[in-house]
Amino acid sequence: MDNNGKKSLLRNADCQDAVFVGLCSAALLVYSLYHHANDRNTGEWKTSPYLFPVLISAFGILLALSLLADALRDTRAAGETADAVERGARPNLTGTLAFVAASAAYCLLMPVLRFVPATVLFLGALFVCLGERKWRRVLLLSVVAAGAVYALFGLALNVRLP
Amino acid sequence: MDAMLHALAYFVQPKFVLLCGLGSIAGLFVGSIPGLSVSMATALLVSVTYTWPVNDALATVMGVYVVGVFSGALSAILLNIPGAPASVVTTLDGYPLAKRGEAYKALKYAAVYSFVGSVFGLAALALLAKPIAAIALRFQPMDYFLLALFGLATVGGLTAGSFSKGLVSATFGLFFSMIGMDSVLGTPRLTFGVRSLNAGISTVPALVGLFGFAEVLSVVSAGQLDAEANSITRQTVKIRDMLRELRHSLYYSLIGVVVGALPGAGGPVAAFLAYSQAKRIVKQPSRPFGEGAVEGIVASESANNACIGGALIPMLTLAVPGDAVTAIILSVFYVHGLRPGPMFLTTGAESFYAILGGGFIGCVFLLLLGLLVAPRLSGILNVPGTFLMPIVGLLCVVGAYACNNRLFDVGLMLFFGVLGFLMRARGYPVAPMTLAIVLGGMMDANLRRAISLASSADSRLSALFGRPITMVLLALTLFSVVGGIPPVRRALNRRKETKAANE
Repeated sequence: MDNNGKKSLLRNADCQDAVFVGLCSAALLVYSLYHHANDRNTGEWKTSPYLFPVLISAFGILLALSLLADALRDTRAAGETADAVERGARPNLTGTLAFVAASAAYCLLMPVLRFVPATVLFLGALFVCLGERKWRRVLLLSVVAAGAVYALFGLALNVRLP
Repeated sequence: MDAMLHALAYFVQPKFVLLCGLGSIAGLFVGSIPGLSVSMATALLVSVTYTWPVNDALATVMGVYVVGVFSGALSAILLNIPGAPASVVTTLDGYPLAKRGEAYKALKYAAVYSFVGSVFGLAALALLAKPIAAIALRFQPMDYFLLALFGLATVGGLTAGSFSKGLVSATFGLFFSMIGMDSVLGTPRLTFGVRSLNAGISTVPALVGLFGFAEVLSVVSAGQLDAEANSITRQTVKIRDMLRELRHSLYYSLIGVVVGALPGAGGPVAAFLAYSQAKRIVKQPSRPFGEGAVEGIVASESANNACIGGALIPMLTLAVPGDAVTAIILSVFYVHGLRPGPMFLTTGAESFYAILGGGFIGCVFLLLLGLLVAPRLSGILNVPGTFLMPIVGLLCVVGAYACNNRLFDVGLMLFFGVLGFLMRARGYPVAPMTLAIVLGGMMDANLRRAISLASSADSRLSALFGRPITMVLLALTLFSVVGGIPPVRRALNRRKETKAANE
């Protein structure tokens, strides 16, 4: 395989996934074998808690090879001139990352601020982040939604909230 | 018949009917709004109904399930965006019909034939559950292991474009199910020193993350935050015209039950199969298929709703769920201390009847809501995602926390949400992972039990695989695994193409 071929193989999503799955499976295999050998309570293989993880990891390695085979076939099919990396519509990565970050911050803030204030902040931040610019609407919706969720879950359904 | 009578007794329990009705209304909204799914709603419900009596929880879940599967047709017809994967085929004729100003007619056909399909599927469940459970009583630990493996292999093979990707998803699910206290020796396993993991990965936060939060992230990432629905004008649809397709609909429903009972196949496959059969058997459709033929809507909706009963058969009798929603319903059972399986019809008969009762009541609500409320829902479909998605994200957080009152579970939900989002983005289905998380513990315990039992026998191999049921299950599992390997699949396809060309 020439340099271009190698590059396009490395940029192939299946190839990257194969490496990831292979590494995870190998790590699980080593971890399971080590713990089976060293833990006092594991006993024979037939009752060992690490029997199933070992089988899973072995299967995972086979799957990594299968993904690699898929990647090789895709790269060959794409040919030397075509770019093997798939290009779809550009995803809204900023919005997605902001959503995850806001959710993580919400989890950390909840025990400090209590449920309703933290929820108002969380919702308000996300409404703005997703493109809403009318402040009154953002405020009104955040307060109403947080209150409604508290009333429904905390009061009506008796769900314990942080 | 006995089961049907017991199920019908739930029609006179006001609380049960009310909860089922509330679930149905929730299912109607959740199923119809693109970006929200029945799986997501059911996963959220598990956490909310955690402390409820089991029958109340089942009534609500069945309402959401039955009506939620139907309401995917609403956005399919009005927006050309299927509210659920099972409604993909409904878009083919539903949307062209709506474009011609006949959305009302399309919705009526969808509601009536979803009702027919759902009732057919649940009747099949009532009639077939007992005989299947009787066969399953003869199962040994190795049979259970192979059955679950067969389920995972078929789910992996059928839900992904690439066979390997489906199996990778299932394998990671099995890994997650191994984390926590070992059920046989009682020692921590794969916890990496994190004490909160000793109790294992809770199913509810994992499911809420994989289906709820991941879906929200996918919608935000794709930027699909606004949609515009077709308007609906009332028109007269004669009942006689509508019932003309009843005979065909029973055939499509049968397809739905069979496909639904196969692990992993589910609504989309059933709907596609029924649609292709409709094209074959309906000689004079009202309009050409794909241009607004009501016969296409009948096929798709009958089959995908009949899958509900079909998917519940293996879940209740063998503890092997037929699709993602039944995997979540299985976790409702586990959360309430019930163990589905061959003995379930004896030990948990009341819950079995509650499922049937909830299903049938859900069907009545489906018809009522489908005919009376659904045509007025086009306004709700226009709710911008800018407002909807943060609220769904909030519900995911509350749902994950409510189960065990631990912020650690919210963290788990976020982890699975991000994982599910990344998996979708790279073409990995999340359904096999869900099934594997639910089935992994059972597979592990049964495999070790089978090996321990066989180790004292003279011939270990025949003790493990020598029984007829085991041989059949082994053959099925090998067939589904080997048949899915890309070179084998390509060879089989080539052979099929050559055969078709010769004919």
